[in-house]
Amino acid sequence: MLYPEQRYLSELTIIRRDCRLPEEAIGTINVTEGKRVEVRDVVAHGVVPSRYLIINAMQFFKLRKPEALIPLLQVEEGDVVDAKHVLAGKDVKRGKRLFSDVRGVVAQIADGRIIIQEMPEVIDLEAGVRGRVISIEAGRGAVIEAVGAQVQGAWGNGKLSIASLRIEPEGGIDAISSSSTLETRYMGSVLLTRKAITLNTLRILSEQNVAGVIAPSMDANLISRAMKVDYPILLTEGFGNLRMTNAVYQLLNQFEGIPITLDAFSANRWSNRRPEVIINVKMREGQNPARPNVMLGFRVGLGVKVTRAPYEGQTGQIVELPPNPVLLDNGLRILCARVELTIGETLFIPRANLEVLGR
Amino acid sequence: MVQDVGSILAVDFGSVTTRAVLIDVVDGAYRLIARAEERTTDGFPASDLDVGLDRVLRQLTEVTGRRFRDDNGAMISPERPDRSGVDLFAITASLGRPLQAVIVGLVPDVSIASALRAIEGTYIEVKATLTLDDKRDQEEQLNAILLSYPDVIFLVGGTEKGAERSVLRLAEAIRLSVSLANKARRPIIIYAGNSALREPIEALLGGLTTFIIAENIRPSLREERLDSARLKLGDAFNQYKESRDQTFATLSHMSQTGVLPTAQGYTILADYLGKTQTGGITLIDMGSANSTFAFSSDAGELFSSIRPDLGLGHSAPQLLESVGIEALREWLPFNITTTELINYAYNKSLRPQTIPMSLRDVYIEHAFLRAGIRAMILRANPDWENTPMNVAQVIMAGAALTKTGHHAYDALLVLDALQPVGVMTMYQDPYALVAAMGAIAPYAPDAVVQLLDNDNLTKLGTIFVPTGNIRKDRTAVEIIIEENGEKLRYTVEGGHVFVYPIPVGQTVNVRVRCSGGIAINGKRRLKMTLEGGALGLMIDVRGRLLNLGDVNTRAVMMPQWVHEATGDPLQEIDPKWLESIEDVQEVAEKARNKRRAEIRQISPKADKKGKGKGDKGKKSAKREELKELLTDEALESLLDDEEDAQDELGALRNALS
Repeated sequence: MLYPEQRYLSELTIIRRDCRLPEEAIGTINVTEGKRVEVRDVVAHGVVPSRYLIINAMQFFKLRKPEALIPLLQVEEGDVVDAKHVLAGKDVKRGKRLFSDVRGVVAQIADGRIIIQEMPEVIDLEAGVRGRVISIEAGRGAVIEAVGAQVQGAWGNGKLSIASLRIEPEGGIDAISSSSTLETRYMGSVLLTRKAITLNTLRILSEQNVAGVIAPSMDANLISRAMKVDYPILLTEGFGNLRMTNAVYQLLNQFEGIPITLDAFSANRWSNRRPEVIINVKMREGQNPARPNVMLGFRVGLGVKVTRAPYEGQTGQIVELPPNPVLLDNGLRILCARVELTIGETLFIPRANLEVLGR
Repeated sequence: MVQDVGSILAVDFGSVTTRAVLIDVVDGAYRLIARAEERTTDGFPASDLDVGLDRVLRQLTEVTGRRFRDDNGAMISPERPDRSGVDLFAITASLGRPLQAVIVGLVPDVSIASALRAIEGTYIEVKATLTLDDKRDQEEQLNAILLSYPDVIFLVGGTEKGAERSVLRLAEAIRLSVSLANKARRPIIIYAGNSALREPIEALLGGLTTFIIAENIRPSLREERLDSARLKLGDAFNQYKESRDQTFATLSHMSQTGVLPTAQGYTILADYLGKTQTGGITLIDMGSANSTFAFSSDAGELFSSIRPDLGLGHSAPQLLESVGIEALREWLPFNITTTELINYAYNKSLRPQTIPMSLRDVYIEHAFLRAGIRAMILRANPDWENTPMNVAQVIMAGAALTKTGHHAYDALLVLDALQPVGVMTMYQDPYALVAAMGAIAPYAPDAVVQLLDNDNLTKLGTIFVPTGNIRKDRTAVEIIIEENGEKLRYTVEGGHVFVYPIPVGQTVNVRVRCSGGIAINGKRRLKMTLEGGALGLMIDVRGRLLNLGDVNTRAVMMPQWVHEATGDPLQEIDPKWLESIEDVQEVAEKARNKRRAEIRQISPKADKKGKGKGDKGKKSAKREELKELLTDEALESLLDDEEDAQDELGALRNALS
């Protein structure tokens, strides 16, 4: 392997944000290529199909032929109907009438049956970033290019919010609940914490009505709980009790009080998008944001982050790239890089366990 | 489809790695010329598979000097006189979501069973099945199909000159569902049933969506024909990949084969080897997202299993869920909490390419591998749970089984997981040559035969696995190895592994004598001439089925086996890892289950007591009322409250700590 994994962390870069509807949604795109969008602009509008109900109208009216239903119909395909809406009958107001049981859309009228689709879930997909639409995928979403700070995370709970970033109090999030006064300063903010999320943290954050949380890690057995909360959770490192990489904390720390987009995208096995924090920042004079370097290869001097225990989260610099596999203490012989960690140790680390944080 | 093909380039896009092999005719026979691999580049920052393809092509160019693309970036094909380009460019892929399918057929044991066998060769996740004896009403069936969001509906049923009306009835159900689906998202329909119905079914469904006809997979009750359906399912896979990824669409048009499922090669090859060679053949690939297993018995039976839910990277959490915590613990030489295992699995899914760095992590990783493979083979043939498979050849692929850095270690992992018996030759396929063979077989069948005959896979060596009355630390096998006129004698004791290196190109004569009650393939004595390989000769005298014992036994045995196989220093297990641990999650789960049982159970004592006091009716009525109140939903909600109470206790404990 000649090229390392990249997980971006940059104060100023060109961001490509992939705004995409869930796979099951049937969508329409509201923007065109080249259009400028604001953070809250709706890029795409999606409808997630829901259950169908088959109503046997022929049987209800004791009709002999399906065609006999036609003069009785009070709705057409595509009509939106409420529960108790009259679907068919000689007179809408009296006599034998067929009512809809649910609120929905008349999907099909054929063979003496009326098929109603329950009201589908509607999704309005926001841009989440100020930028320009550079490409569109029909029915699914758009890619927006923007300039700003970007922090790619490891896991998200599938929620998104746009709110100001606040740093946790000195005693950590747990200290919020032990405060004797009614605490409101975190309400509506995204909280940044250096500590792993616990069940208690989730409770406190819900009570505080926060707009989101950025944390290094949490136990994987909290996933189902985390998916249920209504604010986004982004883990920067992964699962277990892991510490936040210093570089990540330091970068985010400087944006306290600034509105950020916290997209805690929940990746499934088949998607390759990552959860991320995006901050639209104004460029200062002389600043020239660069795109992520696709061709960035392993080389001596490259800054890297270790992604596996016992050194996960540690950063350092590559000092040697041995061409042959190296025998590790655990008995595996693997292609490695020798890395000088910032904590002072120099050791062989499998190249597969190194991530690059930027250009 | 057979063509006059010379040079072949085959590229396999895996979830983590993109591999390429260049095959060409040398001295009248197809040979593997060069191979390359790089990280798959469908994710950040490239988000373009072509970048990874370009990298492997550049590696091949560096080695061979051959140019593969023209100045516009298009693949050069056929090969030009200046030896740039290739005659055949084949693509296989295992990355991405599997096809979601709904299978519709007449009878579960006949047509549906054949349909399930037909889909083994393509990455397909069966989301729903619809049969004639389906008890659901029409509305439920409709929703089952539509809310599965299928990419393909596979309609089977009716032997030739057999059922017609019933098949048409099923086709009607499909028509209704597909007509309601959004036009842009309608699934492909493949019909592989009674051929007499092709026209009426095409008339019914053809206008709605892409409609593909395959040969009847079950022409008679005794006959099964899967090839045509497998080919059409492969086409559907290609169409799906093209529709989901622009790069795939472009590549697919440059390739003569389109994008074929990687797994197809395994079933094709197992089938071919089973028909042409003696003894059982096993092919196994454990990837990051999917796993494939194919076994062809001496009698020509083919067992295969493709599991989109078993993998060591992307699918590690699904593997954990599928095999269960205990199945993993059985392969670990230390105590471990449920939480640590769950965290491990989820972290692996976040960074699937990573490699364990600590000894503890290596054992956990290999526990996932061993338990995953066992789950896969037992799905293919449940009999192997108690009766070990007898194999003559094992071909293994995937980084986990080919990249420990020590061939004997790789072999040991496969022996643990498969637990085969007999005398077998082991091969590795680190560069996806098997996948390539599957893709090129219809175009250049000679290439497949010659690639196999000419040792293009990495030969590890020969493995002997005796069975019988093997007693631990007692002599089980005596071996005499004749090499360069010298006779070397060894004894191997029960419960141990023995490795004798035989370099590639060298041959040795081996005589094996088993102790009383022990045999290899039913024989106590064996005399063989063995050819060398990357590993040489390995004798596994640990007994079948493998008795792993308790955690303390495993803590001694497992590092010992690795040491014996690799010759590397013994890595003892830290005694601290064997200290008993409190598995909080397991305790909580047990408590929840107990509580569940208590809630469900209405105390019989109360009734008895009531009877004595003459208020039987009143108690019984109460009991009925409670039963009615405790519907599953109510029970779950009660249990949720219970969980919340426990969570609160947990939170309190956290605060106190």
